[in-house]
Order: sequence, then structure tokens, then C-alpha cells
Amino acid sequence: MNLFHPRSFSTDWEIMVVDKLDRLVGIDKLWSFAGLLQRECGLNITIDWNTLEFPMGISRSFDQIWHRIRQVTDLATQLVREYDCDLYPAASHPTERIFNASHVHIGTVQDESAALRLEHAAIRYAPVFGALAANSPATLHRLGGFKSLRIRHRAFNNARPTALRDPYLSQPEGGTDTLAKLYGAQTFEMRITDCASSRLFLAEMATFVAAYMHHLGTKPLPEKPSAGDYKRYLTNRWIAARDGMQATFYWDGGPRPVAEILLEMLDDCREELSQLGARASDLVLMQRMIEKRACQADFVLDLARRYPEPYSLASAHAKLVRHWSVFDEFLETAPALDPIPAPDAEEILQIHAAAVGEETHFYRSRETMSYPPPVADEIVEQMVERGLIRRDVVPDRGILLSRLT
Amino acid sequence: MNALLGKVVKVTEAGGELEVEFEPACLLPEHAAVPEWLAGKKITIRRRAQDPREVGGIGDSIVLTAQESARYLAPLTVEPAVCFGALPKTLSLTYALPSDKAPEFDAQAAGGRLHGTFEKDGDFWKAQIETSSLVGQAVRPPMAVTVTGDKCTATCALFPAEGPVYGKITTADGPAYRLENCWYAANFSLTAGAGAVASFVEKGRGVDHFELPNNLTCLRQEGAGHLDRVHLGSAWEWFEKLRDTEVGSVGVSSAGGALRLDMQSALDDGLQVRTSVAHTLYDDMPLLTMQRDYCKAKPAPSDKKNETPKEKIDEITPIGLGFRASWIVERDRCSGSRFLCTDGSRLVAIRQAEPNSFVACRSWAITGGWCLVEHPIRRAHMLYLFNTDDPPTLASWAGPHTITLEPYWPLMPLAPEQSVGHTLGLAAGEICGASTDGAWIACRAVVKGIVRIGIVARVAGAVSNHEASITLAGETRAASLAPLLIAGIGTLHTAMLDFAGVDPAAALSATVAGIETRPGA
Repeated sequence: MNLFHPRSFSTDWEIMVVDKLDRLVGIDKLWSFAGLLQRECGLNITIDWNTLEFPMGISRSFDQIWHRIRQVTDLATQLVREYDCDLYPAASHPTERIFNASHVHIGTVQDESAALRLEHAAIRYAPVFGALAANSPATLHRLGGFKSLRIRHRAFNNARPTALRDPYLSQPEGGTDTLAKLYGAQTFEMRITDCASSRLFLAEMATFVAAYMHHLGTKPLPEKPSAGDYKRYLTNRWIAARDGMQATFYWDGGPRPVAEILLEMLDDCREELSQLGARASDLVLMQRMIEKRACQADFVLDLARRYPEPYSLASAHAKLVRHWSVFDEFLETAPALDPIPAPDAEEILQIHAAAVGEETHFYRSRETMSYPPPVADEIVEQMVERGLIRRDVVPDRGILLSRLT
Repeated sequence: MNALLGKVVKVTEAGGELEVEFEPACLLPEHAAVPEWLAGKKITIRRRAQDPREVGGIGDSIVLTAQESARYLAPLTVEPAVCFGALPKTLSLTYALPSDKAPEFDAQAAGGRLHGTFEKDGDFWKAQIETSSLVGQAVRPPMAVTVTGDKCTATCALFPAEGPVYGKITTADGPAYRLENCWYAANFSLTAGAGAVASFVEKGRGVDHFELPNNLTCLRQEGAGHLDRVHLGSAWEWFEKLRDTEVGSVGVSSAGGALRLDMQSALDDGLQVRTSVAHTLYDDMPLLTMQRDYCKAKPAPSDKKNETPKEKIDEITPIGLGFRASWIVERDRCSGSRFLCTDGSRLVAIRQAEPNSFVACRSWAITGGWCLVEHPIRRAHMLYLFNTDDPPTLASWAGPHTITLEPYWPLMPLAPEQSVGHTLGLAAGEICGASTDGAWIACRAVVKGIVRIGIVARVAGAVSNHEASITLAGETRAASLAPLLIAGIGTLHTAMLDFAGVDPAAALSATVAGIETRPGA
């Protein structure tokens, strides 16, 4: 089987633009930049929610996408600097309500039904990619607690967990972690990944994700995962958001650090990587990230220790990441981090309880780990039985939960 | 608090730190213009940067924290800023901006004038004024000593030694009007919110219920304070201009057992809407009422030729009322800042556990006529009082640092020569109670060594128990609740008891109309 033929890939990098007063340039002026860049680059540079969006075109190798990324962003940097602005590549902004992504598009898909079943197969690996790309620990004056607040808060409904679709019962969908997107180009989209701040990391990550999905496209595809597999995907997704490269996932045979899983995945897809003109050892940043269990969010958190005030953090962060290699340099000297143990059942219960205040709508509990109704209801039931919360049903307001202990 | 953003002029290595010279460019968070005394100035600060690129180079932005910015945003200060009974012998002046030569100042008060020069004192400039050289004879309050220098103004306001007082003062956030009695000292901004409540100090404990930490960069009245809001023309967005509307004229009176402050402002000339607020601080009970009105003037006849024909509908402006009160949020595992009210049949208690969450209870209104805001860890509670005939809908947002109460009323059409408004009551105190029977707040004042406990309550009409029992320092006494009809709010109940010879900081509890003190309050 070979779901992807011919093999290609791309990424759409969503980058903010800031002026010298640290203001984000608005969408109307961004359209004018996008239009100029379209003419100059021959790529369909566009905008997406107060960012410039850089689709890198159909690429067939690591070298090709790496070259394009540098060429396009060098040109974009020069353009915006003529107006005293800078590109600000980051997955979140410490003070603004914005989340940005670097989705990876994998081609070329001919069979939509098979691609829908690939969504099911891919959800197992989506948290791995999410942990690797985690780069949003600061948003709306909130700092820390998660290395990807974007994944945790589903990018304000634009990065939602995949809800599985039976090809015979499906309708077009959008905004999910794994997405067969044939209603656009003939691609499969991995959408969980935070926006990159490092150009080289983006090239490596996009190549690796594409290679692994090409590899997955050669395997027998499941009709649909079990309820247990789906719950495990959602739990791992939450863990990826919280812990980034320090994550320990629920994996075959028990908990496994994501760094080990990545090494295994790189080995599994070595043939597909080779077809994209790369070897695992060429992905130098990724190798270093695996070795140190560090991600781009750790760079932001390190900076935030010196700039705890959000406006100061945004200013310093923007000035640093316009130097594309600043994360690469950080990795050289960053200390190695330890894996964080996966939360057990008790900790998962307490995590859900922490989301409950007083007369909290029960859907806030659902949104903690995005568990489906039977699983989420079971957690609420456990919290009630343990005396952690009280549940009330109130006309006009629905099911309300209140924390007791 | 606002913070400064500047543009870097020069960066110099200085003993392991970076010396950064910059020109102030705008105020954060709103990117507004800097005050006139900062225009064209150059300021130098030091930064310890692990990577010099995080500071950047010439033309790049440099952001100061609110704490770092404070001296530049209110560079001229007078100590004391407020005094009672008589002026002190000396006033201490501080000027905090860098200057190549000694800055000068002018002081005036009660017809007297003085000119002086500051002297260097470390990073600052200091001076002293002998008040006897400024005002020859003893002056009668209220009056103010006004000091000006380099486009800055600061004041020392002198209030009477006793009794309720009122007058204009200068705060770190600009000019304000103060009303003060034995219960509360309230500052009303003259530059924001057409008379927003900037500060509300419970005199007995010295607690400012709208205190804002000085390290938080935010709009002053959006971090902590009371700001009225209005939908004007649009149902989707609040009318932002109100937040920045200055007070145009002020009238104040002390009569009938209350201090009353009237503030009038032009809101929007295009829509021909003006706004006014009357703040009333009651002498004999811990209560502030705020009556806010919006009026739409009759349009002037148009002399334009070929004007588009207009119908009656063209002249109306959709208007929706609301307010936004905010406080520093408390979060503990199982407790923290919360709101209590009734939806008619049950006691509602809402506490948001996670930051950046918004609650809007669109399907019901606060029919009980009250909403209690509780901060149990710091024991600072506020009781908002509304008209029961036209109750608002509850909404609240809880951020990482701030929690808001932002109720709103449905929109209505406002025609020329019409006005609409709302009246709110506000009581603040250290203990509170709430049930389906109502809610109350108790506050202490210390008057000539006597501890005075004041209670303001909203009791449901069906409740016949109008008694209060107050326990202070182990002594329990009873008081009857007296009804008080406030136009626009309805009937409240109040009580007051004096306790002589007790520790002013003794523990306090109460039961009011059968409603006990809330646990942890």
C-alpha cells in the first residue's frame, strides 16, 4: 500500500508582524505585504488571523524546503523592515489573544476514504509531533503551566482533537489535529504543531512529519481505533501540551518518554526520510532536542525567568526570535531536562478537579482533556463519589459542578 | 498601571550591564501618547541582559515595567499629598526626571506664591517648602497647595480635621476628586471613565478595595476599579471612548447627611450624547450610591442642501448600560474570589477556577437586587445593589491577575431629548453574609477611639426579621435594621453600633436578618 503518491510535503508558517511600538500589524496592512510577497516569491503567501501565512509550495526534499523557507523569510524580513517592522515567529503572544501554527501538509493523496482512515492511524502520533513543536507557554498574561497553551486551549477552536469519521458516514471537516484535506489540495494535514520560531527547526520538523506520514501510509490502516486508543490519544495530547519534550506518554507496553518514541519513529521512517533527501542525523536540531528533552517553549520559559512581566517578555522575545537561529543557539548550552512522569489515574482526576470552581459548567470539565462524554462523565462521577465536587442540575443553567475539597 | 515603551537611542556596555538610553514613545498597554513632560526627553536605564539581542539596538523598542515607569509617569510629587486640619510645617517635593540643570518649581496656595529650585539627591531632585513662607496666616480647609514644574503638577490637599471632607487631589494616575468620611475614602478619576471610581479605602482597616499591585501593567481602571460602560450605537462592542472620557465639570455639596459629587462629561459630539454621574457618600452608613445618566441632545437643524431624507428611526441611538468592576483575583485550591447573588429562587455562588475564563448568565437576571463580591483570603468584600424592577444580567471574567464583575442591561432605543441611566449602591467591608433572604456587608470605622460598626443589607421583601446581632471582641449586641429608600435602588436596611473601649482590630462577626457571617469571610 502507498497512500501518498507522488510524495511531497509543505508547511504553512503563520508569522506575526510587529512594529517598533510592539504593536501587531493588523490584517489589512498584512494583506498588502502578502500581495507583494506573492509577486516576488511566486508562492501563495496569504494571511491568517493577524499573521502572514507562508505556504512553502509543493516540496520534495529537505533541502528544497529548507532553501524555500530561508529565501521567503529573508525576503519577507527585508520587506517589512522597509516599514520599520519585524517578523515575529511565535506560537503565542504573551499579552495578545492569538495562537499560531506551522501545519504540515503531506501529499499526494488520491483516495479520500483511505485518508480518512489515516486520520485514525495518525492520532497516535499527533501528540508526539505536538510535544516536539511545543512553543506557546505564554498567552494573555498567563505564563507557564503548559508548554503549549495553544494545544491546551485548542487554539480557540482551531486546533481541536480529531473526532473520528467513518468514510461512509462522513462530511468534510476542518480544524482538527489530523485532517484529510482533499477539499483543498490533495493533502493530508498534520495540524497539531505549534508555530516554529526557528527556521531550521521548521524545515526539520516538516520533513520528519511528512516522512513519518508517508511511512504510515504504507501500513495497513485500521477501520477505527478502540475507545481505549482514543482516550490514550487525548491523554497523551494533554501531556504533550503540558510537558513538551519532557513528556512521558502512554504507549505500547507502558509509559514511554517522548524522546525515546521520537528516536524509534525516526528509525521507522528512515526509508521515507531518505526519499526526501535526508537522514535522521541530518536533522541536527531535532537530535539535540531529543538529547536534551528541550523544545522551543523551554527557550521562552528561560527568557521569562528574566522577563516575568508579559509586555517586557513580548518585547524581548520578539527582538530575539527575529534572529532565526536564536533557538538553535539556546540548544547548544541549554541544560538537559528530565522526563516528567505521565500522570496516573489519580493525578488525572485531580487535574479535572482543578478545573472546577463553584457553579462551573460541567463542560469546563470536558474541556480539560477533551475526553468524550462517557469517559468525561465517568471522571465527574468519580469526583462526586470521592467528595471532591458536588453536582447540581439547575434549570436555565444546566449541569453545574462545585469544588468541595 | 501604565508602563513606558521607549525607542532605543544608544546602548552602551557598562560593567556587565547594558546602559540603554531611550526616548519615551508610548504608554502601555494602550499605546497612547506619553505625557507632555516626557515628550522629547531622553532617559537612561540599566539592563542586565544574558543576550544583548534581547535589548536590541537603535530604533528598537525598550519596555519598562509599571514599577520602573512610575517615577517617569508621575515625576513631581508632594509629601504629604493629603493632610487634615492644618498644613505641616514643611512640604517635601521630589522630581524624578533626569535633568542637566537644576529644575525649578512654582508653588501657590491661598494667594501666596513661591518659586524654588530643586537640589540633586542621588537619582532624584529634592526640595522643601516651608509652608509659613507660602501662606502667611493659618489657612482654613479645604484648600490646596499646588506645585508646578516642567509641565507637571502635584498638590497637597488640606481637608478639615473632622467630619466628611471633599476636594480635588493629585494621585499617581492623575487628578481625582476625593470624598471621605469615617467609613470610606473614595477617589473618583477626573481623567478616566467620566468619573470612574479609582480607589475605595475602608478607613477602619486602611484597606483599599480597588488596590492594584504596582507591578501590573494594565489600564488603571481595568486592573482594579469601577468603570461604567455603555453600548452606544453598536450592540457588539462597548463604547470604548467612555473609558478615556475626562470629567468636564464638577459640583460638590455636603448636606442632608451625605456628600454628593456631580460630574458632567461630553461623551460623543457626533451622537450628541452627554453623560453625568452623581456619587453620594452617606455620613451615617457605609454606603456609596452612583447614579449614571446618558442624555441625547436634540440635533441642530441642518442647513445642508439635498440632504438624505430622514425618518424617526434614523434619529435613535441604540444604548445598553453596564459597568465593569475589577479586583485583583484570589485563587486557592478550594476557595478564592467569588460572586454571590440570587436568580430569584436559589443562592448562586460562582467561582472560576481557571484563568482567562468568561461567564455570562444570559438566561437569568440578578433579581434579588444585589451581588456580593467576596475575596475571602484578604477579607475584602463588596456588595453591589441594583434596582429590583430592572435587574441586570450577570457576567464576569477571571484573568491571571484580575477578576471582573460586568453586569449588563438589555439595549433600548435612545431618542433625541431623552436620557437613560442606572443607579448602583456600593458597600465594602470585612465580613459579609448571603442567602436567598438577602445579603449584607459590615464595615468598621474608628471615630475618636470608638469602634463603629456599620451594616448595609438588602433583605428580601418576605423576610420579617429585621434585627442584627453584632459581636466585637467577644461582646455581642443587638441592633434594629432601619429601612432606607434609595431612589433607583429600592429599600435597603442599615444599622450602626458603637463599641467603646475595645481593640480597634478586634475580631468581628454578625448575624443580620437571620443571615450569618459567611465562613472564611
